[in-house]
Amino acid sequence: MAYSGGQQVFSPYAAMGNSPGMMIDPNGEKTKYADPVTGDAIVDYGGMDAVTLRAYLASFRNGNFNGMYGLNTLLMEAGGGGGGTYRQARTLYFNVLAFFEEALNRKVISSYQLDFGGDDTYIYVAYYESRTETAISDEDGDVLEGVTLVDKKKTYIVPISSYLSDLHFEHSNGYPKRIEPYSIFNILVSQNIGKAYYDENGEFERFQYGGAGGLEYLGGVKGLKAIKAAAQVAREGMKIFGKEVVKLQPVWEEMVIFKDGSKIDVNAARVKEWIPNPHPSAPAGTLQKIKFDKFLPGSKGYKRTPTEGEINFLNLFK
Amino acid sequence: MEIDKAIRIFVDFLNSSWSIVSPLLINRDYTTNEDSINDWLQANWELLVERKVLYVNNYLEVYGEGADYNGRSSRITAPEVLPNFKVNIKSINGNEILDILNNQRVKISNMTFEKITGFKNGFYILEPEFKYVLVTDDDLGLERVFEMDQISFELERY
Repeated sequence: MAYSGGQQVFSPYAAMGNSPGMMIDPNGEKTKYADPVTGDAIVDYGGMDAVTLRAYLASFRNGNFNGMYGLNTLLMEAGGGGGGTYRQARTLYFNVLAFFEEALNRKVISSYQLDFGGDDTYIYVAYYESRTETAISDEDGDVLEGVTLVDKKKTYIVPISSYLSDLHFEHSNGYPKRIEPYSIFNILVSQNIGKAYYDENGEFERFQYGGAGGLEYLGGVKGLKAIKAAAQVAREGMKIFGKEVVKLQPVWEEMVIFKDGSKIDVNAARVKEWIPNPHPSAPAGTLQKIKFDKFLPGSKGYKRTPTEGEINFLNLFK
Repeated sequence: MEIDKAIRIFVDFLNSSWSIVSPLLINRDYTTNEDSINDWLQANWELLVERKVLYVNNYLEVYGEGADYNGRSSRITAPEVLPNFKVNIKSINGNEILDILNNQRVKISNMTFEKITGFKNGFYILEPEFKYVLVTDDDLGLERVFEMDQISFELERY
């Protein structure tokens, strides 16, 4: 027990190797990893939990990234096994995998490769974004509708830390001078990061946490913004519409496209909705506009008033 | 002018202007291609059909899905007004006619006129040659397509 005003010598989590999220000490005799997969897996996979292991193996099996190289590099450069940094790095690594897997599942990106490097204070993540965007046409009418592929390599720097407050990191390429959140996954999926604040000299000061419309500080990194938005859209969209959202139409942000092929166009004035046309002769992807039972007068059934939930959904992304 | 004649002139206008106008209506930065085309169709419906067949302060139901330019309203001109007339369709000879979308002979009853379309590979398209009539069978919630030369158009006041 620490005395009043003094410094606690041992963390209350010391029994769990100072990693209560990853380790347990069920009987006070020996620390071990929580939720190991089975026997040898504790050794082979560093005690990662079953969900993480499945995500890792699935990704590796699908050949989406240079998994073993990345893992080995990360573990080696993060200081080897056993230390706190190791665990944090490993947790971060699998968070990153989960993050990109989610992006892949949401069809925000069509493929990715990851490479990791760094030291005991940070890792870098390079990924190759292969993203499709709607293309309409050129003046010659060569392509009236279709998709175009955007291939870009992007690099992000992520500090390895369990804490939000004590990291100061500089990156030479003009990306954020200081990143405080502790993992890409948490930055982009779990946390709402608000505006960046700057001091009177224009130097970055801090981020506002908890606000909507975050990630502006990553200015220009369209892919990650899109991924973050997709994750948030998916989460909130399921609550409001009851079906899985795969994306917002990139030009007209109120167009919400669902996994089943249906879509809904929402703005503050009205809602329009389409479902896949079930006629056997309808070309693939043909949609049929819904006629609502309760509709705006004069719309012949094709428009209705937005619900409060739909308005709230829109406001999330303004 | 009779509504039947006005609609047939409107259709002639669509067929003759489509190749010129449709490329100009796409790739707008404020709306979708579909809405842009619907805005144009509704504007011309109001100017070429509605204003030709109805007296002042009388308004037709919107063409197809109507416009989206004015948000809640589905009209282009006079967005605040509501229709007091709609277009009904009838079989020219009063008999059952062929619904070419579902390959059924049907008697026209409780059907809502939607728009004039082209037809290709067993399905309606928004391209020339515009000579088919897309309707909604309100009893079944089913889309049907008839050849326009089997149909006459009439006005009905709400």
